[in-house]
Amino acid sequence: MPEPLEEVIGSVLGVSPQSLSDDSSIENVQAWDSLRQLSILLALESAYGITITTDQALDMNSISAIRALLAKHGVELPP
Amino acid sequence: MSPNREQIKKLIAQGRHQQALDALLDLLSEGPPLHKVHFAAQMISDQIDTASLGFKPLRIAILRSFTLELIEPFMITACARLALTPQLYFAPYNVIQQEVLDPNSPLHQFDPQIVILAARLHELSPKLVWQFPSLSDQQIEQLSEEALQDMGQIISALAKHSRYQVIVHNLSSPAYPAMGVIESQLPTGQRLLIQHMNQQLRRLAQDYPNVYILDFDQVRARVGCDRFDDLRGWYLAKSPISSAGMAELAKEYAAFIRPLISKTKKCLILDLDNTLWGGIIGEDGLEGIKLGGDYPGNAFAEFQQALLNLYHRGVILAVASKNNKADAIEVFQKHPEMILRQEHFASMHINWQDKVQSIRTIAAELNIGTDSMVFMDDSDFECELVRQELPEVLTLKLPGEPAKLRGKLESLDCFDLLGYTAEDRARGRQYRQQAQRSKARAEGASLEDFYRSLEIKLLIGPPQPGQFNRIVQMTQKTNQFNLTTRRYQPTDIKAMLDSPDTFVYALRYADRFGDAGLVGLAIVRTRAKDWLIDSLLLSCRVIGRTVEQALLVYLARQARQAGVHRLIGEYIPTAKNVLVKDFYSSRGFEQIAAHDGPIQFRGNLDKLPADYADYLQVEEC
Repeated sequence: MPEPLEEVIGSVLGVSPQSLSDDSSIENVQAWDSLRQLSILLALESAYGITITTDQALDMNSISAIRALLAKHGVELPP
Repeated sequence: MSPNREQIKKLIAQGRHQQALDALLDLLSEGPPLHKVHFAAQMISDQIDTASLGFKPLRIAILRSFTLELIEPFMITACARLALTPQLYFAPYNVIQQEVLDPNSPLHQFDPQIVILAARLHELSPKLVWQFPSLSDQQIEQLSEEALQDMGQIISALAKHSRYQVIVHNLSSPAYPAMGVIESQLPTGQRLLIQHMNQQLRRLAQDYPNVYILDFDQVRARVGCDRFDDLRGWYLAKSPISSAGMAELAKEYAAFIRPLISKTKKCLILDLDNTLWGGIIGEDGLEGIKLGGDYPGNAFAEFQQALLNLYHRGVILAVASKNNKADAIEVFQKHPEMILRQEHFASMHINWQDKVQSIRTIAAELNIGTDSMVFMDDSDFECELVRQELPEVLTLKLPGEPAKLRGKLESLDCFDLLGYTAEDRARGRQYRQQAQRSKARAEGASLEDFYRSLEIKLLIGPPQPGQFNRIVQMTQKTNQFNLTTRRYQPTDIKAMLDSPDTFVYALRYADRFGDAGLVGLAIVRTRAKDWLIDSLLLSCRVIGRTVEQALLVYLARQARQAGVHRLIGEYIPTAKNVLVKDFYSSRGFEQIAAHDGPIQFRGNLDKLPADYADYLQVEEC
């Protein structure tokens, strides 16, 4: 069973998974800066066994965008 | 099954901080996905009461020519294994010279204990990396000299701060050299140039006692260049190292930090069955156990060879095994493929008592703390028992697959030292002699007869050439017979040797069982009317043989010759040196009325013994 997305991103950003929603983004989560963006990319790859391209990384600016990206990679997240 | 977030939080909520930490460290040793490393790092830095678990802060400054911030969670977790809380200062990106040369820079205000200099040739001299094929020989020479001069200037400026321990990345070669496969056919080339520059860096570092070179490409090779380098990170955030690479690099930093904070382990205790050989001697017999020849015997033979290499590096080997002693000894004496011999083990406990008891006995026999021990066993039960009863022992469960044994041993960094001395080379033999002396003592009649029977020879005086590293090491590693436990770095000792007001005296010990080498040290600060004994310490190998009394007699004789009338001794209590609490008062010193700082004792020279005990042969040099 894959890890919940909020668990992965919350751990990397140092915030509780419950505080994150699909609307959370680089705009409204304080800890989410460009360096954390890279950490999120690396964490997604190791958590879900996928490879993300540099172009895709540029678009991963919100939880909903990341959900869409993972869906494209065929990752089935827990509901 | 690794623990989840809720289980860890529950342990913390219950106040079970040690268990929570252990669970996190177990999780980390499985090489978990990155977000779990972040989670573990957050728990360790924010939630677990590490202060109550004895963690100490360590200020680490990182000077870098590229983004290295992603290493932070890996540093927190790697340092947790050393009971350290790292406080990291990342100097601004690529302003190394300014930070180092300006005495008021944030770097110096941070007052780091460890400085990591992580500069790449990519930034130091980009043309040598990216435009190599277009450069003339003359340009190459000029650029490489400039880059080395820059590095040299930074290193020497850092080294002047004797409190800093400086770890310098050497230069990394591109995974594919600029000229392709022909590089190895040419008289010169990019890779050869970088090797040459690294040799010069190495020579440069040797001029400073507080500068150490980290072989960056060796770290990178362990991970694999393709997995270590991450060009996406480089293009997006100037962060060229993957998370697998950051994990390995943090581990390498910790391998340097461990000896710098004197946490190197001294002794490795091993099981026998399914450890030194395959199978169980009590069941399979001498003919049936697997050792040498084809797999799996060859894997156990190589494991033994790796253990023997550790022995020659100065690690004390010991055995704790549940077996019939006669069966096990027969293997050592008769099995033709045995590489390790009884003589390589300082102590062997082959019996049916529990291993916790055996480990405690070995510690007592060798006179070393259980916190300097590593225990290796193939049984989950034994490992768990030792972990619970003796958490300070580093317990390592051996991999079930024999092919992994040697690698497991060679990847250990807990025995690593940053100086290697003649005493290290001979340590295993000396600890075996120690066990023989204990036996002789049991046979001897009176204590004085026993000392006499040892035929002890002492050589006391200022340090001889070649003893410098050992002197530094003794101040860092000696715990029990150490009156003040003042730890000194190479730069401190060098300053003392150069100072006219400080005397350093070293003591060598030999007896009929062998030469123990340099085992005693006294540091004296001269003052107008008296001498202050700043440090007085003795290796635990020679405790209980009145050697310390001889060292004090020597100090008194020197002081008398220098025309002073008093020695002032100091005692600073620690968790480990209660042994020497009454040392000065038992030797004719009087305690000086209490005040802040160390407990002080005054010894008037006319009341102190002037001669050495008659059973000692002492030579002053």
